[in-house]
Amino acid sequence: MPLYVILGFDGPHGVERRPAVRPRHLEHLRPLDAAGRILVAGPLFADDGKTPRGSLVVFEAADLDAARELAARDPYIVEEVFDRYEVRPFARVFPEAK
Amino acid sequence: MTAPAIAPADEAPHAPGPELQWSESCSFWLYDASSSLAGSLRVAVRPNEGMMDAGLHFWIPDGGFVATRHVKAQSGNTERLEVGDARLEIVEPLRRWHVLHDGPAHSLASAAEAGDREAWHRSRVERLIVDLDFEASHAAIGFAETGAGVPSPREGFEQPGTWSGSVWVSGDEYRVHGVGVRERSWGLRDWQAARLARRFSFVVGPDLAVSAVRIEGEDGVELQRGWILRDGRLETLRAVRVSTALDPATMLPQSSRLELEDAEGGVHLVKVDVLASAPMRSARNRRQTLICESLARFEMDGRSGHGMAEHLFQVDGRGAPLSPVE
Repeated sequence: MPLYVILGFDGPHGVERRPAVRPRHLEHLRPLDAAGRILVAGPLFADDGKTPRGSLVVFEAADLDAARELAARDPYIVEEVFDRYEVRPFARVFPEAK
Repeated sequence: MTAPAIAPADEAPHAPGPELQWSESCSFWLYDASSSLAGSLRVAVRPNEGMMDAGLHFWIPDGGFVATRHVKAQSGNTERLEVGDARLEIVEPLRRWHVLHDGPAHSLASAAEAGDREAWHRSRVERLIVDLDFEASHAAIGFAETGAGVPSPREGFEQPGTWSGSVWVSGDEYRVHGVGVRERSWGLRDWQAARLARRFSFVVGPDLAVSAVRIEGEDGVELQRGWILRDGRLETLRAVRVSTALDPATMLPQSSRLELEDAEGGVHLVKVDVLASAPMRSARNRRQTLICESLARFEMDGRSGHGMAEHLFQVDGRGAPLSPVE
């Protein structure tokens, strides 16, 4: 199945909204994880390594439309933690298959 | 979608099409952050209906709304955009315009009263003097709202810019140093053709202006277009997704959320809060259309700006939407 990446960038209220929205964001991604379709996912931070600035999810989806649909339902998007995001086709180069 | 190229000749009248409701219109909006004065100005030529009209609307800082409309007979298209007391002058094509008005206008207590026929009868008549200069800050951005099944196919262009000059309402002068966007468009203007049409145009600062349009026909046809002008770089939108919340009491738009997808696939989220909505009704062919022209605040990229939000939908006799405004 092809890989896609969601890159989300926090809006001005991202820092304050994240803690409340995070459980729903995780719940949204959990079925995908349970199906073994998430390659890697987690927050992006400011230079201090502590302040969240966005999120990255690399995952499998049937096609780009399905990937976009998953992104559009993410609570971080619906509940305005992000104010900008991108969904891109992704290809894994490393780690190389052994 | 690539924006159609626009030439200075497009600033001149276009050959009318055969449709009765073919029109060519020049419209502008303005917002002055120093006073909170906002305005919307339009002149339209409707050669096949044998007329032209002008409408000027101002959202006054005290919450009031001042509006005037002029109509006159006109055969054929014309470059002379003068109707009653209103006049639009091209000073330099695709660059500078002069907007003039001196005459009576209705003063309403609020924009919301624009939807109340009785309020117009009760309204105070004021002298409205407008002497404004618009200077475009970017080249014309062409658009084509065309395609199979698209309601009211039109072509045209938009330009963000700055305003200077003054607006007088019965002796109260507002010195204007504002921002805004102008549009010139030509084609069919059939208010009753779309199930739902939403247009958003706003300026966040000298480095960021946006236009986003989503029009939905009765048969599921969707037209989505727009642009983001950021740091002088134009990003064309390939998708405009809108969710709108209506005020349950008035059934007028209260807020919207936009997802603007640029040509590179980046999605920009915009929050729209309607500050003052002027609901206008248009009735034709036994259909009633509500056109809500609203002053709105927009949040994007962690910044806020102002502009216009226009929501158009078909309504029943009580003003309720005929189909869901989602």
